[in-house]
Amino acid sequence: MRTFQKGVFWLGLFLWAGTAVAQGESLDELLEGFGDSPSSQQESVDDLLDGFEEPEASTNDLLGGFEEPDENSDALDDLLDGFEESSSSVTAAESLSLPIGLSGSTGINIAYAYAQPEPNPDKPDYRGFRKLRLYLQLEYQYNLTPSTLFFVDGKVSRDLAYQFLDREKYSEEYLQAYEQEIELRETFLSTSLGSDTDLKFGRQIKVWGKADLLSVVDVLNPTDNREPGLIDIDDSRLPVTMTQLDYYTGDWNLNLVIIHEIRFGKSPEFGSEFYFLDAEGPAEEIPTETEYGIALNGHFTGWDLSFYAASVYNDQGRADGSFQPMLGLFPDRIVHDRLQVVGTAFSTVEGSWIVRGEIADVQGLRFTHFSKNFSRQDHVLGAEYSGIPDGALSFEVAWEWIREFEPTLEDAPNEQEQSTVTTAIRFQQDFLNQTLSFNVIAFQFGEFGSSGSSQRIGLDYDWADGLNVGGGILLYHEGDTSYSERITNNDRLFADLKYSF
Amino acid sequence: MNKWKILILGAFLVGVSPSAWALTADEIMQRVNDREDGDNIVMEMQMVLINKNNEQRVRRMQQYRQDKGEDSQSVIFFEKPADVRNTGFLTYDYDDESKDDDQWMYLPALRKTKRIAASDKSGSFMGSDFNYSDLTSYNLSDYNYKLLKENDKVDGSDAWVIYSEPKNDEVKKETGYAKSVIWVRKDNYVVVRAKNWVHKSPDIKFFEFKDLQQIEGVWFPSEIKAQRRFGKEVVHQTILRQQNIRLNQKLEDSLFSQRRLEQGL
Repeated sequence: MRTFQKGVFWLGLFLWAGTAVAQGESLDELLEGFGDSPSSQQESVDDLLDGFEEPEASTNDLLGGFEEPDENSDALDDLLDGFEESSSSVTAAESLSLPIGLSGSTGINIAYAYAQPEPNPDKPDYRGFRKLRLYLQLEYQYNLTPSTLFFVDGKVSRDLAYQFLDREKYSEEYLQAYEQEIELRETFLSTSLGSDTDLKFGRQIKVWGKADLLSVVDVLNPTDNREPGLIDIDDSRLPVTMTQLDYYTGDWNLNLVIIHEIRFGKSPEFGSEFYFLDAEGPAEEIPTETEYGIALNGHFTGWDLSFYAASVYNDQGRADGSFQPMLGLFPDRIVHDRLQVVGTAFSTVEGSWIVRGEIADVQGLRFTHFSKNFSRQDHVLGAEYSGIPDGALSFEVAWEWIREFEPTLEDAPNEQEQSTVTTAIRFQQDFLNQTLSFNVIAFQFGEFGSSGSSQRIGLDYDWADGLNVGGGILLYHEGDTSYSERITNNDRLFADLKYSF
Repeated sequence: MNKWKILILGAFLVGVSPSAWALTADEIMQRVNDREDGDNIVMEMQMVLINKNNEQRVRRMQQYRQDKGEDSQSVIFFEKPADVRNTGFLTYDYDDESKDDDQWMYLPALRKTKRIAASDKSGSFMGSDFNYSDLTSYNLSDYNYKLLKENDKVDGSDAWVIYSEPKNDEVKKETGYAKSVIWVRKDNYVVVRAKNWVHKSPDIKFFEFKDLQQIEGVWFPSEIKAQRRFGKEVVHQTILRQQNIRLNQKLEDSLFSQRRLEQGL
């Protein structure tokens, strides 16, 4: 199976490399045909232009394709006919007629696990179809006044895979979390208070930071982590109820955020192949104190700069409990510690390159079995290259470093290293006038993937306006952490169909 | 304005010369470049993308553009298809040749405005047969021009035929075109046809600017046809229709901002 996985990954890279080679060949052909090489360019142009003084042959080559009243008119007429036909046959496609302000999407997400071993009789079988999820998402937008907007977004989904699985192997909680879901997504009222101030209240998603893949300052919204690498980007961030006040002056924007709804990321439920432990963990405690954030964003010619400060709860919980004389700490709850985050981010453009960076200082970190607070410094540096026609390549490296580290943090249950490196690479290449897209996204955890890695390789095709189909493969590779060992057999094929209206 | 607008989305102004018959190619292109095109413009655009199987896709968008001193700013809001609705594209186009344009794109799926590298304009705009370079300005001085034909006819109007070639490979790479032939109407200096050789490709793109209409003294094509051909085969084509064109409107500077980009129309 490893060989198969590697084969698929290298096939992806081969396709990419093959594209580049093919483009190189096209260049040679172009240079040969049109004489554009630097050494011969001037001569060839002169030859080309000289030809115009001796009527027709070369001139026709240049002018051909439109209406051309000369002896080559037969061939040119053929080309011209094409223009006329296309003009007469073009009509705007009919689209679904909906009430003003209403839009949405519907579709199905499919996942098929092929690498899982046969389970013990009393354990769930993680082989075969793991997801056959139908969904419907509806959005409604209503402008109360020219400067006041009401927006509501809801999504309902049902996973048919559990009709075919052995339901008795799953807990009620698990089925409730995975089989059917109704989610009130972004729902807010926004208005402008004068010419330079905006107010927005309700469930919202607010993205901080410049990095695309490994942001360390994007701390306001939790994320859906139930299937690492397989969540649709539209659904990955979870909205929370907040009030936002934005003030704009010149090139600057001041963003104040008060988060009323304390909500944490969706983690794999006990019983899932992505769950962290063999046994069910203790219940999660949800704190209630309001979270705050402030950002100052500047946009300038060729570069952007932002500063951030936030007081938020750590999305990643830790086990806490009472001390037992024989057992030590007996974890009876998952708690989330209050963090103080201060950070900055920049992006700058140079030619076809965009360089992005983020730094954050995190205070208030705590770990199981440790009573003291730790602090951490997080960094991200990345670049995106868009000099590839209809393609883009980006990579980011994140480095987290814990101050006043204690070696026992490396032991279970924390399994925390002082220095953690994560690398992400994304490549996208569009074909057929952007109807077909080949994309690769790869993560490496630890230096050179020592703590595990994953690759998602896929194709997306726009079948028609608003109708998209896609599919691919998601690979997990084992590293030196217990979690990477746990999920290494979760490789899967996936397919999606989405109709937007 | 010192730059030559390629006229895909821009204005087409009248500027008749009393000595038009004597102009060189450089002088003609300078006059194309020098035409007044209004302080700002608002228009609705519909692009019909047609593949070789005659399957069609439709893109609808609203564009606002204004001059800002020697520079220009534009913002495009996408309305259709549904999967790109509310995507916004903001460009600050600088006259200074040493400065790259600033470009940002708002992606509603990400809820995020991303800066985009603007120097390479050879990519397809929304899957159409227009490159990004067709939508922004060129530096006149980046090209060599030669008058190929003093007299040609396009839709019954007299036109010059001018050969244009970038002076270096960098411009070819950035624009995506190795060379061009341009038809300029003699009575109004409007580019009515262009034939562009795609850089690093045997394909050629044919542009036709149809149904010229004059709005507040400015000439606009109601329809622009772009065809990409490999030999005689039409690989793909795009019909761009410009509707409800309004010039010299009262546009606030705040329209051309990231704030507005994220708010949408």
